[in-house]
Amino acid sequence: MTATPFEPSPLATASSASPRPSPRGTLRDDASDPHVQLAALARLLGRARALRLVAIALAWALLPVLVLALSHIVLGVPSRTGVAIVAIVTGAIGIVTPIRRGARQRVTATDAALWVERAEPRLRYALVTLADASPAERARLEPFVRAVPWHAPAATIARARLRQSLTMLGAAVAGFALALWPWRERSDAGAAIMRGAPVPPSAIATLPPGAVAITARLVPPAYTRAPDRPVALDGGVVEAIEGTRLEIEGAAGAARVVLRVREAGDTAGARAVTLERSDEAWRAVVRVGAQPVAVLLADGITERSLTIAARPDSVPEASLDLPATDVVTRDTTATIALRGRAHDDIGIADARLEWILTTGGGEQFAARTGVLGARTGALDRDVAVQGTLDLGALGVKPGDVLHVRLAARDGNAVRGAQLGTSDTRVIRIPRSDEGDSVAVEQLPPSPVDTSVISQRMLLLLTERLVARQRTLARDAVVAESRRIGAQQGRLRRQVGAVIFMRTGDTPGGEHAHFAGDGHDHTASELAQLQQPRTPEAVLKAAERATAINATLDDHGDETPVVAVNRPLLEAYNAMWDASRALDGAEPASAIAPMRRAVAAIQRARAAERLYLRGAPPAVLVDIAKIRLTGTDSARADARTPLPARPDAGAALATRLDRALVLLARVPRAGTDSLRLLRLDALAARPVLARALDDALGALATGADATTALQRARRAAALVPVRGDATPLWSTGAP
Amino acid sequence: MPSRADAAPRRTLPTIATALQAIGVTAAAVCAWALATPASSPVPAVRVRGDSLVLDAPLGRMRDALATLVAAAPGETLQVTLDGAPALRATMTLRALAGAGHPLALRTAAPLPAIAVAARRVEGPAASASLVVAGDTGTIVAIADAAGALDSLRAPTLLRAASLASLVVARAHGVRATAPVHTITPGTRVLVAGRAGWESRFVIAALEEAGWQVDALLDVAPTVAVRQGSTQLDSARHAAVIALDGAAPAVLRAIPDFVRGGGGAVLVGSAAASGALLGVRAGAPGARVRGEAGAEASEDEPRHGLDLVPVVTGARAVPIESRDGAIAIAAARHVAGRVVQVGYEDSWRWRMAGADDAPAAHRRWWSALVAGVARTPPLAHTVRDVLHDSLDAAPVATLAATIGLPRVVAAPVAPARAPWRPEPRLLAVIALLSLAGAWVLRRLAGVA
Amino acid sequence: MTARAHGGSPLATGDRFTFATVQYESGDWDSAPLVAANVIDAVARFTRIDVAPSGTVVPLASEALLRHPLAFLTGHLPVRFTAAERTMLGRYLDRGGLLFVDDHNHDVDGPFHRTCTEELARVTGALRPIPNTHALYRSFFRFENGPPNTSHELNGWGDNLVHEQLLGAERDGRLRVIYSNKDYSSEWSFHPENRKFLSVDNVRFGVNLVVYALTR
Repeated sequence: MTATPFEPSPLATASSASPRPSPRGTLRDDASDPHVQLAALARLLGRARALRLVAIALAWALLPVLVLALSHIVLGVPSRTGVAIVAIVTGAIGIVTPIRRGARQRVTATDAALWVERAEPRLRYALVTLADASPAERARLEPFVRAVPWHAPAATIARARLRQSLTMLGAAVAGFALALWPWRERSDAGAAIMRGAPVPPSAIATLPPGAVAITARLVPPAYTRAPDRPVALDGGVVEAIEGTRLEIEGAAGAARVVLRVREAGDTAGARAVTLERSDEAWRAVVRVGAQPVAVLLADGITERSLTIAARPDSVPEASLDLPATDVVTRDTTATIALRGRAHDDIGIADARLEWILTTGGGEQFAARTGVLGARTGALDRDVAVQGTLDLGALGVKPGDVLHVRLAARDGNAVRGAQLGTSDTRVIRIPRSDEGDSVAVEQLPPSPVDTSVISQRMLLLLTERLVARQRTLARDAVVAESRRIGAQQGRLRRQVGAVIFMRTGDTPGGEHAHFAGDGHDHTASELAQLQQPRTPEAVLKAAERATAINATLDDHGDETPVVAVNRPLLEAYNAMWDASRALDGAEPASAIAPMRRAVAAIQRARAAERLYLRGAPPAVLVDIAKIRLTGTDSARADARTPLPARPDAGAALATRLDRALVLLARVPRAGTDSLRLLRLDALAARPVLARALDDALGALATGADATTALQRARRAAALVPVRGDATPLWSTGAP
Repeated sequence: MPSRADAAPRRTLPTIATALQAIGVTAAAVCAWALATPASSPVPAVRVRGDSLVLDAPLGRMRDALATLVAAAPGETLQVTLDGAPALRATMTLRALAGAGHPLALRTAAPLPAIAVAARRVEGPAASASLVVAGDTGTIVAIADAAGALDSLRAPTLLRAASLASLVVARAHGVRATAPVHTITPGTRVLVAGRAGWESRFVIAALEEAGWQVDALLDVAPTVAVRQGSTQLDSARHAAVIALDGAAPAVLRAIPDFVRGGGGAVLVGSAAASGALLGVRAGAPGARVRGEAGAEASEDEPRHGLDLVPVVTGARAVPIESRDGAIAIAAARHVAGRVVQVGYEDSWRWRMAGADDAPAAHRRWWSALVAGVARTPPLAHTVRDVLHDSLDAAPVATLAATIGLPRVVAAPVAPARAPWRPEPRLLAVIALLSLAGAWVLRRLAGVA
Repeated sequence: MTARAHGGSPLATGDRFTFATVQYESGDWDSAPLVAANVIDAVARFTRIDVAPSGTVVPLASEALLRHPLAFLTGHLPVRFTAAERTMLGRYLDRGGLLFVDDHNHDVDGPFHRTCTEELARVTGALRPIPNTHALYRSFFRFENGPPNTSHELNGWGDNLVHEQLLGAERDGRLRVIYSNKDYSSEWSFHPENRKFLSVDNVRFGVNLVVYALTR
């Protein structure tokens, strides 16, 4: 049976009783209810239409934007900001207008029903009627409408329309993005380089017709094992490690290319770089030193530039973990574990534990050095080194001092390997007589110390006399020789006094006077005093005294008393010989014993010197007594004043002001000045350099550079000062 | 028998004579008390009108008021009322009073400009200017010069500007203030004379680092002196001279003529004791005062750690800085030139042992001292004086930077009145006249 | 030349020059205790410089170092500065201090020389030879050939090693470090009483050093 169009089926009747309008006038949520389906369809269609309208409006709005963007790309006018403003205005109109229209012309359920009826004639306008029908009519029509499967196909088509509208809108938005893309802007690339990111080849600028095409790349030093990277001469700043080479190559146009280079702070200006040519192809290499360098390339059509900020290779950092502190040990056979770490920004080439063993004291030290755990070659950035120090194998003795540290070198082939060292640990083996204290008050200077310089001076005087002997009269030689001999005799007696004082005898054993010293003695007394005491006798007496002291002190074989007195007695002997030779006016014969005497005194000093940490004795000089008693003539040279140092900050600010004036009159020259200023500011005034970088980027793209230039002026010209820095009287006339 | 009319005078005359006698004795007693008791006049209030400082005191007591003001013990607050924007000369005088140790209580009844700006060249080898922006604390002020916008700042602030173009403009809340920028270049060559010592070494270093060209004559031995550059003080060559001590007498003898001719002199410590400098010094050197141990390392008052030879200022001198009641720096004009006398000794300790910025602060301080007196070219000097005295476009900014902003009050503050104090001379006259009158009356009564 | 302005004795002030010997953690900093007395003696003997009658010892890591703008460092043993010593030395030199270092070993490339120059280079950068025409050699006495030789180099019993030039580090035209291999520590380490034996005062260069430090 075929149901009449407007007769409800029993199923439809049964189901149609349930849907009722909700209190808010909307249909109950029944997916099979035609009203609900119509409402949903109307919403879907409304969205699709709104989006489509917006997309169409944007497409129309895009037209002038595209024209302006093309003009910006090709001609450089209008500016990017201008294009952006037009795009924003037209885009806003394109969005607002259809939305406002959409608000007035909403898609109603009737519209949706009509749209369905056009696609589904079998409904015979029942759906349209249903949309506006009274409840009574609705009950009659619903079964008929339900009988026709209209909703699913209609919803599918509506969704397709929505997708189509979205695609259109996406295309319009993409068109806007394309028009606003920074075609002439490369400061982003420069910023990426500043961050250390590699420059993609796409960053290379599009050249105007006739400009010489080039390729440029930065070649880091081989030891860094870093890859080459292409760069563009786009007025930006790139960072490169010191020693990097900038290689620029071109296939043609060598005759037109002028390449100049200027280092930061170079007052001589830019210097030309010679091109290596082969036929039409050419190549140039610029080496990056420690200073930032600007590279300027001109080919008659364009001028390109690049600033390379040199980054120094950092010095390796080393630390010694073991031993963690200085060590004092009496165990001369101990083994000491050593462990350290080193780090370098590029890589360690050599890491080793170094030791220095110092033996001796006083004026005579011997040092041995060695290494442990050496690692060489191309190592990692982080290297650990360890080793064991065997004191027994080193043959250390009490009194020795070992210095240990970790030394790490990088592979810097530009400046030479740079050394980084850890703190040094000191391993000390104390002397047996030193006790546990390392803060022992030092003895006052020994009387022996006062002798050594005197003996050395007498030796010098004698040598000088021997050298002049041939040119002097015999009488003069005799007189001078005896004068030195008298002083030698006095010194000998002083040494004798020291010996006897130490051995417990009285200094009177050696009379402290000498002929002509002003003291009066009778002839018998003099004869008794001058009676020569043989060195053997003195030596015997000294050794006798030494034996007594040795028993008392019980320091073993190497007591200081013995150690000091033996060489002093030798010195005494030698001085005796020297005295005799000098008194006999034979200075040449005196030199050998005098040298023996100096050496012996030196040994005596070395024997008694201990390295003790403490306060040395304070020697008071009687200033008032000796003031201006010197007889040597002095004459100070007049000095040239140091050149006045210009205020670097003020100079930069002045240069910036001049560059700004120039920029207004001759933009290209002004831009060049700003580039050079940026170069000089890179190291000393990084804030200024960054502001200038932004300004140059804006100028290169034709954008508004005012803000960046204001920042540059602020950075260059203004320095807040503390209150107490106010000049005292600088602003006032009295 | 006398009539009643005759008897009346005879009865009244002794009474009057007794009264006069009592008055005379009382007046004499009060006079004696007044003479015995020291005066305790309060520091008179000061009123500022343009470039004048007006003492708020009765006409007859003006001299005493002035003497009290000048001799007021450091530490006593001076009440200063502004009748309007003060001229630079008045501001600097107030600053000198403040520098001598008198706290200033500034008041004004006049409304102040919302913002003010002043730009002045910092005299010295560096081409820089100081930029003062005054206004309510926290006010955002936009600063620009002839070359364009410079910065936005929070007032009040003080800046060192390395390069400014002709005119500085400040804007805030629709208010605009302008100030011209002076560009006058002084001479930059300085002669340092003294003994070879750490002070000479570090003064020379500080000045050279600040950009001055330094010649030096340093005494080392009776026949030996270290000479650097031109050591003959020459008005055509040197802008200023620094005498560190009494050494180098040839230079000391030349200083008076040099200053008279427009040169500047910085006299340090005991140098002012030299007989050759009696005519130009700002004051006599006093007894040396030890610095506070370790204070040179402080950030706030590093000069408190230095030894001080106080300046006992003369009539012509203006105190610039004081320490613990003693004048540490004073200045004086001598004909065409200027002299600043510095009591601090061994400022090198500040540089070596001071806080982190001590070397820079020491450098700035010495450079400012020299710049304050350095000779400027004759023509520019005239122009500068005119500019400074009459064209201070931002008096309030200068005032704020120099001694602070005044407190606005509803009405001018009444000056503090001195407590009544009898005038001894007047009392003496009264006593004499009274006693004389009593004597005459008694005589008349006796005769009658 | 100046006249004798105020007699032979200068006014005593805080500006007085005090000879300071640097005490450092490693090595034998006190190996030449008589150098101070001899330099003081020579300065007083030839100049009017206000000089303290005795020297002082200043730890390298101590703030007290900043009270002595000229400091003397010597020793025989390897020198390894601690981090605190290195920091203070840098601060000292940046503020205008002058460090005079003498290798007490009078040898070539010995442990003191190698370690000390290395340590100094970490603070000041590499040491460079001081030209023999430098103002240091003409600040009071004239040394036409640069630094005077010591008897240790010439007298035959020493090592016969003559070092032609001193090393130094300079900034802005001022020496910050003077490094000597001449062994002035031995040359100037005699008892002042023995000065009378010297026909020519061998501490004259010490006077130049002090005058240079005080005037530039």
